[in-house]
Amino acid sequence: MGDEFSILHGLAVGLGVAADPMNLLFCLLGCLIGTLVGVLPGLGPTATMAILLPLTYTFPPVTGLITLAGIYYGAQYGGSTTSILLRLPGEVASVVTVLDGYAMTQKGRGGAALTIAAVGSFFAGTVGTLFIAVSAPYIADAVLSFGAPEYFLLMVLGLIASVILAQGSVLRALAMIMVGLMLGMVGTDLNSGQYRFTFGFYELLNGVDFVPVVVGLFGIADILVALERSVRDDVMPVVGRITSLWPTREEARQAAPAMVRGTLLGMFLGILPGGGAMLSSFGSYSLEKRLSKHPEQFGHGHPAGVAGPEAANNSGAQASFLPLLTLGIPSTATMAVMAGAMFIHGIVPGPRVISSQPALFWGLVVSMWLGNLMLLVINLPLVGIWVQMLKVPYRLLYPIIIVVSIVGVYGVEYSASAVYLTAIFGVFGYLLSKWKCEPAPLVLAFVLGPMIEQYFRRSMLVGRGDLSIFVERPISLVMLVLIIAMMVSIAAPHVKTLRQKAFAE
Amino acid sequence: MQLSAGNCRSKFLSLTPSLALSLFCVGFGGGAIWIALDYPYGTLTSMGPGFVPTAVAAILVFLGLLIGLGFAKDDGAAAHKAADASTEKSEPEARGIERLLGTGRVMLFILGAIVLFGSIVRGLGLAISVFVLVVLVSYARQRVRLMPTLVFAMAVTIAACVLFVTLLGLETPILPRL
Repeated sequence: MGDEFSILHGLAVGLGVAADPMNLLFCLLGCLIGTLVGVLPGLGPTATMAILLPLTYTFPPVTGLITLAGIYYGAQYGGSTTSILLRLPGEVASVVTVLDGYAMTQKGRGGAALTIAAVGSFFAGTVGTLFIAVSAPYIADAVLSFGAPEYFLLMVLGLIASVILAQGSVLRALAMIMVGLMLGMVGTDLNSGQYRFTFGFYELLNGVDFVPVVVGLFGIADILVALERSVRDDVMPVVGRITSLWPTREEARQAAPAMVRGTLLGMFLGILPGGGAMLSSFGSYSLEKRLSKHPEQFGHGHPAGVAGPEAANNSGAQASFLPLLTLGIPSTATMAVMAGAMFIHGIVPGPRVISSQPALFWGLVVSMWLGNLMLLVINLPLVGIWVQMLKVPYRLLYPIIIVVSIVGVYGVEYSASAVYLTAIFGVFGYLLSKWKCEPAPLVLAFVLGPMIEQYFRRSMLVGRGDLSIFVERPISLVMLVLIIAMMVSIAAPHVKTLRQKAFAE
Repeated sequence: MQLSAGNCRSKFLSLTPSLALSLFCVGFGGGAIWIALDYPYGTLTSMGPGFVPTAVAAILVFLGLLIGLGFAKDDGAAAHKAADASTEKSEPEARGIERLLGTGRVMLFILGAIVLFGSIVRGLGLAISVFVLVVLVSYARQRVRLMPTLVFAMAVTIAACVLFVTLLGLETPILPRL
């Protein structure tokens, strides 16, 4: 397993799957929807994937996953377009691109900025997929030797790390994790058959359905918040003519090293739980600014300020697939939706996917590269159309989003209770945004919850109720040390503020 | 955002985000512990169904108390600001009673429409249900004109029926069963 031959063989199998006309078509469709979502502000890739998740239910598994993946990385391409041309970041991962991208547009170099962003994204996407193809089989092999204690700690590690790396208050995120874990426990307990927290509803015996939770928290809640703020439909800003798409030699010279550094940084941050595209682009921008001999030029149209973050957010997006496909652990809310899609098709994400479903794994990997290629080719000629799409006013957009999500939720099992559940989680998501809480840790914990409980109980059974089982095994000891180190680093700033308060008195 | 939060604090009966979250965590966790009392606790070696839920809920209550005591600072404000930059073009938020009415209207129409859809889709079929859904959610906004809304709802209904039933093969009747 895992030598060069089998990787080449895997890629050949993958090419066969990905080049299937049906899969090619849906890969393209996913990329187009993703670009559209990336362009439109207020509609993120996670929400869109959640909303469209029920629709992919009718597809073969690999086609469904290819489509959803296309939406995710397609959004990374689309988000940059409006950031650069209109100073409107279509989603969070391309917020930093606004700084130098729009400045380049003002200098009349908008076309060059678009090309730099697209080529940077493509380069990052290529390296990112290659990285997955080469490393995933090895990681999966190593993980197969994990026992229950290692798995339990790995998941705890993932959750804690996602808290530290995510923005916002750590305490709030931890509370969201606990709420997510509780939600994950609703239903029949696997070991004893006891019904837990079902309140007498037979619909809850198999647990809270995943689709209504994510559609409610991401799709409906966003609409409630936006309508309450009564977002106005502004007049479209005029886009200046794009004269030349070609960067000058000087611009290319400045962009190329930033692109490589952004790709590597994004890959690293993308693997970490809670990392993904957003953290990568922010990280890359500050890295470029720190490394540059002329940091004062950043914000005034420096090509490295476009190339770095754009490469980083795309390689981060690709790399975040790695923990899901090898460990079975979604590292971000977006990947939790991917995990949900796999569960719906009866596939348990984890180290066995590569060996038991080689066509699915390699097909997905190869299609991600093909998708990146498609995006490079179609994105630039279609810029005009994407900008036109911004003219669709929100008052027409949100009813369409509601119809697609609600009919989709209903269609999974033709159940009215799923629709009611979506409304409930819509309200809950609205409240969370009032309380300044992110729904992402909740969704991660909700997906991981049942597994965490199972692995914990199994570890205790193996260790005969002795907690020292976590210390005795070398790999789990390392994880435990990491977890403790992270907990201490969380607590430290609070200790500091506590001390400051005490001193002030 | 900052403004409205300051507004809330000055008003009697209004809760700060932290306090509201704290109450939720303590209530949710406490309720879960109370319910889990009925589930066998088991031993550490062979845990019953009540063990892990009680432990997790207890942590949640503890976190809720910490948040209520003001330990949750809004750190990482930079990322929030960045996210807000994309919604920069929203109007200055309405104040007081007007705002409360606006929120009530949004909740009533959006949630009401969704619940209504769930209860009629089986009996009345997809077409009527989607039509009603679109019309109702459109009225979540103020100053809506009826005719354009009806035309728009008709178009969305046709598109939804084609997309879901014809293309995606949803096995649900389009028209009411007579």
